[in-house]
Amino acid sequence: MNFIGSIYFTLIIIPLAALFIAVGTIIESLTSSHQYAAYMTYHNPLFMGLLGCFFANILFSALRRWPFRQKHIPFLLTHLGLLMIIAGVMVKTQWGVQGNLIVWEGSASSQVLSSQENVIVMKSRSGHQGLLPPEIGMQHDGWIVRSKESHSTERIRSWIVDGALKIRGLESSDAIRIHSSSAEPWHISTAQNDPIEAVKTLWLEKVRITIKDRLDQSVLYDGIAKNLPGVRIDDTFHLHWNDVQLELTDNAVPKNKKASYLGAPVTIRIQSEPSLVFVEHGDEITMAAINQVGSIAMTQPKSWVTYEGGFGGNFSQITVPFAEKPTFKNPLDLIKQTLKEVEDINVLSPPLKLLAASSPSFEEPLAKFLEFWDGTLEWFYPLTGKAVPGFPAINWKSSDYKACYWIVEILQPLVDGLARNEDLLLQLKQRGWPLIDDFVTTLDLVDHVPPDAVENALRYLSQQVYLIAEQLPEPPPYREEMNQRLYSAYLRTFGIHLTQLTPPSESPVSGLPTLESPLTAVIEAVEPLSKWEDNRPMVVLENGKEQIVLAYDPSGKKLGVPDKEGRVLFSYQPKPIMIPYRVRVHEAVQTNYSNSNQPFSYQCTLFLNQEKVQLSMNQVHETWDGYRFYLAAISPEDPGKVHQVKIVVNHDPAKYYLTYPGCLILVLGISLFSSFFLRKS
Amino acid sequence: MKTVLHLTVFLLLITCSCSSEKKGASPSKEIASRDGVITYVCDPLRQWEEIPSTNSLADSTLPIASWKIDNELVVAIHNFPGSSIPPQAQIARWEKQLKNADPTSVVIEPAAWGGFEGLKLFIQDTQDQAIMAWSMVLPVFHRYALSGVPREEHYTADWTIKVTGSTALMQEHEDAINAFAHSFRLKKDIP
Repeated sequence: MNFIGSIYFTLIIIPLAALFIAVGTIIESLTSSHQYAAYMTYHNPLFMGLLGCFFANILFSALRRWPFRQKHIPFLLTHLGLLMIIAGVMVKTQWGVQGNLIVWEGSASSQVLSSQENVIVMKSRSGHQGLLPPEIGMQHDGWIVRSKESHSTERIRSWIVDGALKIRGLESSDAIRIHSSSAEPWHISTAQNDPIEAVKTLWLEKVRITIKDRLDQSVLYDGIAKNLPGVRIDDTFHLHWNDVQLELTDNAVPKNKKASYLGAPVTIRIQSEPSLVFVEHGDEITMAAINQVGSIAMTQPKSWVTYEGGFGGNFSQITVPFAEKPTFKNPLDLIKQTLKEVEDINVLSPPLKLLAASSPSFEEPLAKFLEFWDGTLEWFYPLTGKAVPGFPAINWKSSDYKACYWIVEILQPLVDGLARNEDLLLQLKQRGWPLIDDFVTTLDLVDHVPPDAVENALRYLSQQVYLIAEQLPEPPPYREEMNQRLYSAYLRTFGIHLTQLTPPSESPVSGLPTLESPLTAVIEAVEPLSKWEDNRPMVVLENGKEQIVLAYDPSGKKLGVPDKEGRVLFSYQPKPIMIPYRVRVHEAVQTNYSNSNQPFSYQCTLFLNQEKVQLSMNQVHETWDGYRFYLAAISPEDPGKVHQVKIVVNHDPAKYYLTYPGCLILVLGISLFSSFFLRKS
Repeated sequence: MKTVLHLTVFLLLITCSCSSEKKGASPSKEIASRDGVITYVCDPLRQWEEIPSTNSLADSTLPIASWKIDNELVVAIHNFPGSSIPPQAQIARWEKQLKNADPTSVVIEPAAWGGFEGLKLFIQDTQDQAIMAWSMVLPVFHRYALSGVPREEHYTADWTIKVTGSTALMQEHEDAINAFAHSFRLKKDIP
């Protein structure tokens, strides 16, 4: 005890403390890492032991004066002050708070993230939060820290992970129904590198091109695009074939296109298996879609979604750029499917009823007629058109014949005008159409008929003619060759055309469907950096059934990682500490030097449990119980954006009970010493 | 004796500190949204005369709170639950409200506080009339934070503060008006 309280012991521990401090200073200057220097010195258990030695040395040196006399008072006061200061340091180290509070303007928080201690936070669905020290072998709730690395890199991957496509709800398949349960399946595939080249290749392999002579409907080519001689797609997704050029990115591109080949009129029909291709290029994913009529669209994931507060997982979302489109591969099946519920032909629309009356098995001729008519790309079936095999001679009622005759006579010049880019409304006005007011009002037109409203407008015009047909002059006598043309007019009046037929859908989906892919963090250990503050450690947790890899999140704001059962949400972050103050940030302002991005001053208004407080670069707020709040950073710099504020919070629980009184007693002791020596001299 | 004197002076020095309390702070005023529930808080000056609001505030053309300064300047607060007007559009609308506006007087500045962000406008005309106004909206990430919260529509509503009246008087009260506008906030914090 005599040695511990002796000057010799003091002479040993003072140089040791000086050595620690010198080493700490050198380490910090070499590595620029305060954290590393603190770990090696001030936060080192040896340094804490050294403080304990100082405490014991001072205590025993005082006790050696026992029994105390009046002349010992200055000596004892000095030593008591020193003991209180050292005890204050120990209490602060053990129970003090040092951390950061990050809050957006308008928001509030009571949770400080420790700047000295990291933990693995295990949050359960009930809200219970377990803290697991990130050291190998530590256990909590069945989970054990299996390994730890000082530094790591983290990349968030989705859609294509290790070459495999990951889509939520899809185990393994090369086709999915995405618009509705009965919709046509879309083929899915993956590719790497250049998305444009990948889409071009896929298009040429998937798309079927049919080229027909428009006059006699003879098929000139029918096969996949790749095998059509001379066909190519440029980088802006235009199809080139001889003198034909088609824009493939136009979603409204008809599946039939008029063209001329070597001067002869042809029809190009493009049909495709709808396909999605996910292309991985660098760290990015692009999804290209090719729909049923060969239109191309490309898109990228734009949003993330988190389910059940993170317990249900985190997903990347991508929107399929095409709405559901009917397939017209087999019009007969489509018609049969549409009519299979019909038991009484009287419920059919008048043109179908008329056809059914003329031929009991009318489905096949109707399908053929619709297909032939669609192939002509004419509004009405052309007089010169090829006779549809098996199409019956219709027993026209005189009123229907008259109406259809006038529909063709009145609308055909207007359709021809449209082909010359003449506006439909203007044509009707010029011709003095008597029902124009009703036409404009019903179709909600202003001064023209928009291109996407033309088809509807022509149908409405057909219906107007149909309604007033009785008042029109008698048509010339019926001729057999007019049969199919008149029938097409009848179908137009009732909106029946191949493009208007849609397969019955169990649950029609409106809008564009969204696909989701789980976000997967690819975390890899790398060589640690000399500046510890920049290191992002990683840990591996196990519970016997699964393994969770976590990368350190210094902000504590990133998405948590759920276990497979969605029972626990993990994050590896600074230790959260609750303080008895709710800090609400109201306004934060950063003023820069003129013409510079360097901050001249920071200022922040906040509410601490309703009390309004100002913080600035040099203005610290301290509460009555020793919590100190420093303004550390404001971001973004833009004064027109809501700011995020970083506040450093510090709490020394011993300050008012040990450290400050200790200093006071020390000063008092030294003063008494001085006066004692002055009096003596 | 000397020692005691030194000690007394020393103790006085270390125990005295300056008070950072600001004197004369105005009492906070609570403001109801259009559903009648207190939603906002602000700090108008005591001497401002509050204009009683009408019984029905469902009409968004009526202010949810307003004051008169020196019997002339009118400070009005509007909010717009369920609809959103971009600050640029609101500013453009206000700019047209002064008949003989002086285009060289227009000052538009970005502004953000209390979780809202937007623009501030100052404009005056050739006949000593001026408008000082703020149009503020909630950014998307705060909207997400409030989604599902009861009365979400009222918390996320855009709001505006508009001061109209004589240019000279407005310049005289500019600091007080600015301080008042910047004190406007949601009563509850954003989660």
